[in-house]
Amino acid sequence: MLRQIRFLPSENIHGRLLPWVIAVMVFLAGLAMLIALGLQMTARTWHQGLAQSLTVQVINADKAARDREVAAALAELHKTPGIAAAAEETSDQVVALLEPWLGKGNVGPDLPIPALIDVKLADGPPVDVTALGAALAKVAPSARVDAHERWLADLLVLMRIVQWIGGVIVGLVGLATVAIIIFATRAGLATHRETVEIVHMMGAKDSTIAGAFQWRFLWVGVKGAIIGLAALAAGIGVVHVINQRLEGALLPQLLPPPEVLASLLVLPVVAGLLTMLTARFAVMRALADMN
Amino acid sequence: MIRFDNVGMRYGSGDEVLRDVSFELLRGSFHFLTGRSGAGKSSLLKLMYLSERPSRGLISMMGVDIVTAKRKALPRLRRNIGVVFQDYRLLDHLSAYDNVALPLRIGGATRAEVRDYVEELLVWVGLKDRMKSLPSTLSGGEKQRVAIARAVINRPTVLLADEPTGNVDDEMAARLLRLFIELNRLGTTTVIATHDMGLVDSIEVPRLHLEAGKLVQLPPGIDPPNDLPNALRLPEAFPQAVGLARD
Ligand SMILES: Nc1ncnc2c1ncn2[C@@H]1O[C@H](COP(=O)(O)OP(=O)(O)O)[C@@H](O)[C@H]1O
Ligand SMILES: [Mg+2]
Repeated sequence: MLRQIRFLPSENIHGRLLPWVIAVMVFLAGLAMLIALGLQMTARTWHQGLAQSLTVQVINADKAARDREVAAALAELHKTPGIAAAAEETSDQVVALLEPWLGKGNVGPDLPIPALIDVKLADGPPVDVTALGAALAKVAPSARVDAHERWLADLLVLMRIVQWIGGVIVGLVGLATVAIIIFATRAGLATHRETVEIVHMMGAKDSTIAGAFQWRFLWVGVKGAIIGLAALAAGIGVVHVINQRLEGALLPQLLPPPEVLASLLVLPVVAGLLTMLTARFAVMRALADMN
Repeated sequence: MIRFDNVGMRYGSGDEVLRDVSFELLRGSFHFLTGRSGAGKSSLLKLMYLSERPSRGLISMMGVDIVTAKRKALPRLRRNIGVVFQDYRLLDHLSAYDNVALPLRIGGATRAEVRDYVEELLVWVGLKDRMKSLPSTLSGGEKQRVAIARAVINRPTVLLADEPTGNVDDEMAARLLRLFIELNRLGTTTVIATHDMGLVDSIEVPRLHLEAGKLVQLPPGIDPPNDLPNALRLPEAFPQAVGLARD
C-alpha cells in the first residue's frame, strides 16, 4: 500500500473542481463545528459558574427594614449546611449590574434598589432551594431565593438543540463529500481507464493501482481543507474585528476559545483521510469488475 | 505451459469467434499464429493474456487453470506474461523510457536495475535517442519497438506478440525477430501472431493456424490448404445483360 508506482499523468486526475468543493465542505463543517463546540464550552462555563451559586434578593423599599432583613437572612444562610459563603453585594456592585440597562449615571441614590446576597455553594450534596426559601421567609419575609438553575435549564436545552443541529450538519456535509469524491474518482478512473487497464494487464495488483490514486486524493483532500480553513479563519478574523469595534457589552463573546479553534485542525486530517479512503474504495470497486 | 481444451469464445452475445480450440504448447516452444484477418488471432491471444475469458472450455496457463483461478492469483500470472498489443497500447503520458520501465517497476525492481535494463534494451531496439520522447512524437515503427521492449523487459515466461512487425521495415523486422528468438533461447515460451508470410517463412517454426475460428496445428514449412478460389469469375452473361455488348 505504501510502495508507489507512478503511472498516472502528473496533471490532476480528479478534475479541477474537487479541491474547491472540498474547501467549501470543510468551511461549512468547520463553521458548524465552531458553533456546536463553542456553545458547548459556553454552556459548561455557565453551568459550572451558576450552578455553584445562587442569589438572594431582598426587595423592600424601606432601607432600614431592608438592612435588618439582610442581616437576618445572612445569619440564616451562614448556619445552613452546604453553603460556603454568603455576602451582600455592595450598592456600587449592584449599580454596576444595572447600568448597562438603565444607562451610566441614571442609577441615583433615590432609586429603590433591592439588596442582593451572593451565595456560594459548597461542593457536595445540593442545597434544597425550596427548603432554604421557606427558612429565609421566616426570618426575612421579603427575601427571594433566585436559583439560576431554573432559567439556565431552558437555555441549556436550547443550546443542546443547536449543538445537535451542528452535529447533523457536520455529518451531512461529510456524506455529501463522500458522494462527491466517489463521483470524482469514477470520473478520474473513466478518463484513465486505458491506463488502468494496461497496468492491470501487466499484473499490477488492485492495491497498487488504488495506491496510485489514493495518495493523489489524500493530497487533494488536505489541500482543499487548508483552503477551506483559511477562508474560515479569515471569516472569524473579520467577525472578531467587527465585534471589537461595536464594544457591545451585551454581545456575546464571538471569538471561540483557543481549544475550539485548535480542534478545527483535525479537519484537514479528516478531509484528507476521507478523500483518500473513499478514492481507494471507489477504485477497488471499479477494478473488481475487470477480469 | 499453455493448454487449451475445447475452448470457445464469443464477444458479448455474438457468434463464437473461436470454436473448439484445443492445443498444448510446451515450455520454451516458439510458434507463429497465422490466419487471415478476422480469423481470431487477436482473440486467441487475448484469452492467453487473460484479457478475455472463454465462453466454454478449459485454459491452463503455467499450470494455473484460469477459469477457476481466484482473482487474487491472476496478477502474479500476468506479470509472467509479456504482451505486444496489436495497437501498442503505450501510456501516452509516459516517455518511451518510463513505458518500458513499467513492468519492472510493477515487478518491484530497484531503481538501478530499471535504469540498466531499460537503457540497454532501448539501445538494442534502436531507440537510444528517443528514450525521453512521448509516444505521440514517435513514428508507428518506433512505437512498435517501444511496445516490444516493454513486453520483453522483464524476461517473461510467456511472450505473446500480436503483429509485432506490422509497422517496421524488413531489416528491423528481422532484428526484432532475433530479439524474440534470443528470448526464446533463454526459455520464454513464445507465440507470435502475424500475417507477414515473409516473417513466417524466414525461420522454421511450427504454426498455429486459424481458419474462421477453428485451429489447426502445422509443422514447420507447411502451408495451410488454400480454399480461396484462384481466379475471380464474372458471369459471362453480365456484359450483355446490362447492354454493354458491342458487336
Ligand atoms: N471487441 C470485439 N467485440 C466484438 N467482436 C470482436 C471484437 N474483437 C474482435 N471481434 C471479432 O472477432 C473476430 C476475430 O477477430 P480478431 O481476433 O481480431 O481476428 P484477427 O486478429 O485474426 O484479425 C472478428 O470477426 C472480429 O470482428
Ligand atoms: Mg488481430
